Amino acid sequence: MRGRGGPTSGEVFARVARRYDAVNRILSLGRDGAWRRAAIAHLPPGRVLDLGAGTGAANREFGTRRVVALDPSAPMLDLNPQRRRVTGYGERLPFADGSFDAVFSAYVFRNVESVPETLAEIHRVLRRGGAAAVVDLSRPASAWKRALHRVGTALVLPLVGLLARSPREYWYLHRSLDRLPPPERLFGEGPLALERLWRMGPFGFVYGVVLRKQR
Amino acid sequence: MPVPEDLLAIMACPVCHGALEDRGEGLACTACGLIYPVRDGIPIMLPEEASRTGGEPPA
Repeated sequence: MRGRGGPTSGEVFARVARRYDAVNRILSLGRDGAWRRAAIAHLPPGRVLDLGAGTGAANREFGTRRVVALDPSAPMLDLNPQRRRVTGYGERLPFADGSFDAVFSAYVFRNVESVPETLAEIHRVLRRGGAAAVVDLSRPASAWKRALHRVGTALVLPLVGLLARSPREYWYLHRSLDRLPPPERLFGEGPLALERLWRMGPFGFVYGVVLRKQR
Repeated sequence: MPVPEDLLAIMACPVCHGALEDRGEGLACTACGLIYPVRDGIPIMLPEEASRTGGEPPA
């Protein structure tokens, strides 16, 4: 979540904080909540860490779980109505080992500085048998859909950026889609066990994964 | 605004994972001595925002 060169994702998200959730709702044609809900349904009850919670877009999906909201951006957390809020990085979670039954993270993994370090930290703060669910955007799985999708986001995201009056930030989002390997590889190397992977949305460009800390 | 107790109970220093105690001026790590500020009940657990006792920035 600390960028190298250019604006850091923390700075980017501080600037777009207030419009971010509304624009993302429009971009996903109102499906972003359903995609979060589908992933949270796989998590055990108890205490859940919302990693990259932002303004709290996932709050209504957690049911009776006890939520701890963590985000590197203080301006976004200020807008999050959760009672337990912490400013922090995914790569350096400020929690004791085994503190959580579940970890949830939506639309965040493209923006963390180090996915391996973040996964190692999630593994550390989960109890044995606990689970993490991650939802994020990536490119579609097939080559021709991937190429078409790349052209699409190159055209659409700058327009959305103009509407949101932050074109640079939305160009950053377009670029971030190509930053990471596909989820099969990203989550297939541990330390958490990849238990489930599915794709959602048009062209299947949204993925969900369930990761387990095994006994 | 204080940090909720059930949150403080599971928190640890993000640098060394040491235990934290609420010292009013911030959350102090009992192992490495870093002090993290708290703003409006939200602990700022970013290493670059932490200070040493006496307000010196970390090395």
